[in-house]
Amino acid sequence: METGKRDPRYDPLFEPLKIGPVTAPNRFYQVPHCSGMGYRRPQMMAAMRGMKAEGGWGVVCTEYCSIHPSSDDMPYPHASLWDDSDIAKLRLMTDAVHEHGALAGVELWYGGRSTVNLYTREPAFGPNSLPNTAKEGMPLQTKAMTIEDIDTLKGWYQAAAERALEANFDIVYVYANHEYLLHDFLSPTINSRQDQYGGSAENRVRLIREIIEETRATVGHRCAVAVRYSIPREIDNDKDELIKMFGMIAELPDLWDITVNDYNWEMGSSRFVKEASNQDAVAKIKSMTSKPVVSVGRFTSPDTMLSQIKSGVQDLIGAARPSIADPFIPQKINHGRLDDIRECIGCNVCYAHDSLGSPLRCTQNPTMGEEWRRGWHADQVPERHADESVLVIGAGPAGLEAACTLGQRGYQVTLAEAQTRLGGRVTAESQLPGFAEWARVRDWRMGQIAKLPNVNVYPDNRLDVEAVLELEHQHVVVATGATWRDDGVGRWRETAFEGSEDPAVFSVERVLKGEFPKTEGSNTHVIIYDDDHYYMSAAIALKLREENIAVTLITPAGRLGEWSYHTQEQYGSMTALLELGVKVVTNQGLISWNGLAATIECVFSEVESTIEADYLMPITAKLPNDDLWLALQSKQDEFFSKGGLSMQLIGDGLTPGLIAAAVYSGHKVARELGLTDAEKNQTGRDTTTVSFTH
Amino acid sequence: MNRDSKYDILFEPVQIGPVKTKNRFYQVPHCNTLGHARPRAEAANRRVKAEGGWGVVCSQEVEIHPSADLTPYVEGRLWDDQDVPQHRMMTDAVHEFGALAGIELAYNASHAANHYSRIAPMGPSATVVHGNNPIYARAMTHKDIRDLRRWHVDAAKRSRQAGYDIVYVYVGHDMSVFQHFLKTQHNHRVDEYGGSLENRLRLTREVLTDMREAIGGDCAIALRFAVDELRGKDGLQAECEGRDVIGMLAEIPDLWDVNISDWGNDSATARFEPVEGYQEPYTSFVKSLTTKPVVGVGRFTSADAMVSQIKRGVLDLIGAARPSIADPYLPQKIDTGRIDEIRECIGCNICVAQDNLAAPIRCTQNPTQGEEWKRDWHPEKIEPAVSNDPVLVVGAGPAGLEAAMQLANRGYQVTLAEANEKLGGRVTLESQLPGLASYGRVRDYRETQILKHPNIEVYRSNRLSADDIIALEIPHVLIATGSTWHRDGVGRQHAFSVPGIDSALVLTPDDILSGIKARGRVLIYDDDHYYMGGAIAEQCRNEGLEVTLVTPDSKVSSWTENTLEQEKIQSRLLSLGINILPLHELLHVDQEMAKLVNIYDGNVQQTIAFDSLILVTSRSPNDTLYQSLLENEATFKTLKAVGDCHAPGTVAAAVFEGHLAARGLESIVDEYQALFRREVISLL
Repeated sequence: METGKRDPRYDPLFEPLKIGPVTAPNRFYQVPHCSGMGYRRPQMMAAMRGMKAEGGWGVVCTEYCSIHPSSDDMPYPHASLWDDSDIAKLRLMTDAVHEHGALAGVELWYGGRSTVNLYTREPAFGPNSLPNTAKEGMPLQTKAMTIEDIDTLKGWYQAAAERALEANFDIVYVYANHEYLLHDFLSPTINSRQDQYGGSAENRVRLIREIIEETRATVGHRCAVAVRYSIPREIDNDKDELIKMFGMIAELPDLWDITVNDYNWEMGSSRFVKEASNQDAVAKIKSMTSKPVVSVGRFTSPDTMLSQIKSGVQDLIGAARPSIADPFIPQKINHGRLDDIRECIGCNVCYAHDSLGSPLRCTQNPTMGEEWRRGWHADQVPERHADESVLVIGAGPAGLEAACTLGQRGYQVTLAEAQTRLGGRVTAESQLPGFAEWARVRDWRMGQIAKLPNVNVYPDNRLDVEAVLELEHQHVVVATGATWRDDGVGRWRETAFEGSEDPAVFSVERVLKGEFPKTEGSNTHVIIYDDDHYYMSAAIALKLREENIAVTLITPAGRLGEWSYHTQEQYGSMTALLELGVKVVTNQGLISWNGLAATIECVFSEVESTIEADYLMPITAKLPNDDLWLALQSKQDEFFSKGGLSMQLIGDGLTPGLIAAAVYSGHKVARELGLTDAEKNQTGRDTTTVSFTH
Repeated sequence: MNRDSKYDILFEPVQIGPVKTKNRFYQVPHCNTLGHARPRAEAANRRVKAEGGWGVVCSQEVEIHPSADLTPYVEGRLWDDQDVPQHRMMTDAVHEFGALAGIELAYNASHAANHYSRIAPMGPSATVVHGNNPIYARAMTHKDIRDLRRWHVDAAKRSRQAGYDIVYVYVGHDMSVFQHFLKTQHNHRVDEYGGSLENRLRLTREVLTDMREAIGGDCAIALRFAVDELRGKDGLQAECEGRDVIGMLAEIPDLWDVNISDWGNDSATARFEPVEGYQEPYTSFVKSLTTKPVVGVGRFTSADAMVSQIKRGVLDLIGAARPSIADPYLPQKIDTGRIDEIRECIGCNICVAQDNLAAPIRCTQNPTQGEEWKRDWHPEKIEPAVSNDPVLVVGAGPAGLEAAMQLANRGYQVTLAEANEKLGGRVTLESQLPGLASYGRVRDYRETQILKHPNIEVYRSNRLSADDIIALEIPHVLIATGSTWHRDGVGRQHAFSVPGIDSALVLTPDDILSGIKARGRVLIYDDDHYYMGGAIAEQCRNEGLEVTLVTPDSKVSSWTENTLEQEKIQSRLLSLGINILPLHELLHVDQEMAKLVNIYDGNVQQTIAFDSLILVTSRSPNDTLYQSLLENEATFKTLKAVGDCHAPGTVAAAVFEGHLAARGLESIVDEYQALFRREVISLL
């Protein structure tokens, strides 16, 4: 990548900052964030964090790092410092981070009522005995801690802090939010203890105070002590309990890592929460402490970052998601490459994968999680293997990414798109209420492609198989996307519903093209039948409401958009829908449509009922657009005889799915062009050793 | 002791292709979530079954290729040669006791989401993958089919190299590529792999042939096939294509492992299939169509029922998954005339739930399950006592019974005091609820062992106070006094009492279980989400009451999705005429009126009038006795709370804690010092 000079305006972002006994080289701070890697995939984790240090982040932290087996979040792979055998795993990470001059932070963590200890089978501690609140809703409760247990817990913290020193961390956290154990002690609505650790604010803050002090005694000669703490989103007055308790310990740590106490907001999807949304709250407590403050706000704009520092809202720019979407944000600002910044779209697919017990992935950054196992760099691609040309058909997420990466590798690329606008599904979906940032998937790639003279883009250019053969490119990549089906086939139905051919069955594809189902002279009522379970049905319903169309949403699931739970959207979608008067009917499958009414069936009792409407819109599943691909396959002899070397189908045209999967698919095909099968298969795998004897 | 000769038939050898099993006890493939992430634990888990007398011990499903990756679920893995040593550990362990080792090769096709490998999944036709992941499988091309066949051959060769004797082709549970090809619901192909049954079965037939060519001289080829899906004409049926498949492939495999599909039907809980042998009506025809040996399951725990299966020609081999989990020594106990020592599976599916939670297997009846390597626990052996000190166990619920029994097994003199006349605590009470009778086995097994054990004295109807206990001067005291359901609505939604709750007459599950009757219009508020709310609703409805169940979750008894029961529970409740109001939280109570609010919208409220309000929310540990003894802690060498009075949880967790306390007495100094081994992740 070409480098330039930093705009001096941004110099404040590159000023070092002393944090207790250590100094951050600049103001870019990757706050602790989960990775789905942790103790299970230590090399993957180390390489991922190392990539961020290379990209210029001054501080790079771990994910939540358990201090004891009674805080075990299986199946979610957190980091751990349970015993000395964990030190080597985390040293991989600190070495990778230190190699680039960054500081490494570790978020020591004890779960409490939100961990289920499925591996260790230990009962979790709690201030009192309360039921488990993990999303699994395990039928178990915490053990109410005795005073002896509190001493035990404090001992575990310090044992873990000592191991953190041993693992060469520079910043050690006391993690007091996110409804984990320390938060529960702070909370007046959860902590019902009657001893010196419950009741008054002074009592409830006692445990955190003691742990901060003891951690400083253990590591303070070499490491900074950070506290991660939540404050209310809207602070009404100084009497707020969390603010009051903050005041009591404001000067104790070396650094405050501040969030708001509403996870749906802190981790909100871009549909509901925009950049710098926490900062009003953060600004209010900044004045209460002389210690540096870091906070997140899904910052991707250098100017917004700058204004945070200049206006004194915070001292360090915290980031989780933006550092995932672009590990090189700091370096790009530093080198005057602002338009190369790959901005987070706030889709929370990263978070979803941790929530699925799987390695984190990213819509914008297909190299996320592949740094170690495939050797993919977030800002560099290998040179082309030969002087060859590639035709990419379709400029949706997969096609754009393929063309962009192939172009960066130096291939001669022709990108043909049937529509006048590039972007495919992200262009269409970014028109839906709240989805504007999704267009960043398109915009970043178009911006990169515009800089590449070897990539030629032809919009409004639908190619048929003859045209493809005539172009005589050596390589053809087909990325023709997918189409929503409207016959109701999905998860609950395996065959088309009766009446699916009726003209009042209105395809969601038409809405995505800007058409609406409307009845002349009366209020239109549309039934959306959802068997997709992600965001689309809610988004379309909200779009129809903008057109004043009445909507009833029917789904065979117990909740609308169940999968969007993983992306922190489910609750937001539901409240938005209910606010706009959308009726949501759950646990019902679609049986038939007669032009006037839908017959539905309870998925448990099979009892049928009917709901009248003007239109029925099934949103259930997609079909890959693979006609061109199949036609090409049938003419592959001709293609190869004319000098063709490879043809591949990628993205939604291969298997409809996440935008992240389409971008990944485009990136992979571009990275791997010219590799042998054996080379492609040379990937790292986390394995469990069998030679070791305990 | 000697074996009763009527069971001799169970100990006859059976030839399976080129290999021979020493008896008819056959642990069919079952998951345990140890697998590739925990290979030592896996080997030890299977080893103990071979040691306990099972003639055949199989693996769990084993992924053969990264393009069907089950992450976050941890099953077996045989992607390439580096996985072979893991499996070698398992086969060595099984062979040590003269048992055969089997491996279930699996390609999960559109059942796999590939969260780890990130490869686009594939299946017979383009479709959404199972579950609600926004991920689709693509339709396999002919090249893909050739690749898949090759991967199976590669995996079969690696299986042989790893020392397996039996290698599976897996056509079951709606989870495998071969079943997806077979089913018209998944297979919409128009080529030679779609359409007619012959075509849909082609891939299975080809792979069976490929594998026989590759390894047939050394290993038996088993075919695991679900003959019926219990979906009527919407699925595979035993009297239609299920039968045809057996007929068409009759002599091709060396062994037929037959069951019903999906997993929820195959592993039905005792609540829905209380009688062992429940698969017989579907699978009994199989033997009439093949001369090859047939194995099948049915949660068999009775030796007589097993003999009957063999004698009546239903099965040749007694398949078991759950019974072998609850008692790995089941065969040996029959062999040595110790029938009354068999620890019978209660059919609760906690084992299954762990797999669904992507966590290592555990078992209500067998607390050593999954701990064989991790803590070096053996289901039938325990370290001898450290001293001659006597021990007092207070409370004879699941935790107390297990602790007392194991302490006696260690050689301690145990006094077991129970406040009630009947032993068993919560399982005695809960086993009266509709469908939960088998939970009584937790008590029955332990009570039987305890009553014949010379080291234990049992005192019933004997409620001890702190002073009583101090006066006994017994140096080691374990308190296992259980828990009590909250009467104030404290649970997940409410950390403090529900407003107005004092104005109403509230019933709890404890009241219902003690015989107090609800009356009139019954409102059940379930913030617990396991079986209790649904079971109480069923009981009240059976008494003729009008029942409404309200829950903040989207479904009744939502956690039972993990035990494969949720759909069946909700269907049953609805068919009984119980009203269900999901997604609502109890806001406040005013005498006989409950105000409910939609969890998404505080403005959507409704009021329900009731005659009886039953709160199923959470439990309070009964730790008063323990807390008052703590004031005199120095009086005791050991004073410890175990089970629900320590931290309320599942019956499995209580039994586990009782077991842990017994193993740890005078052996583990620091109760929170986690003494277990962890698998080591390679850092290379």
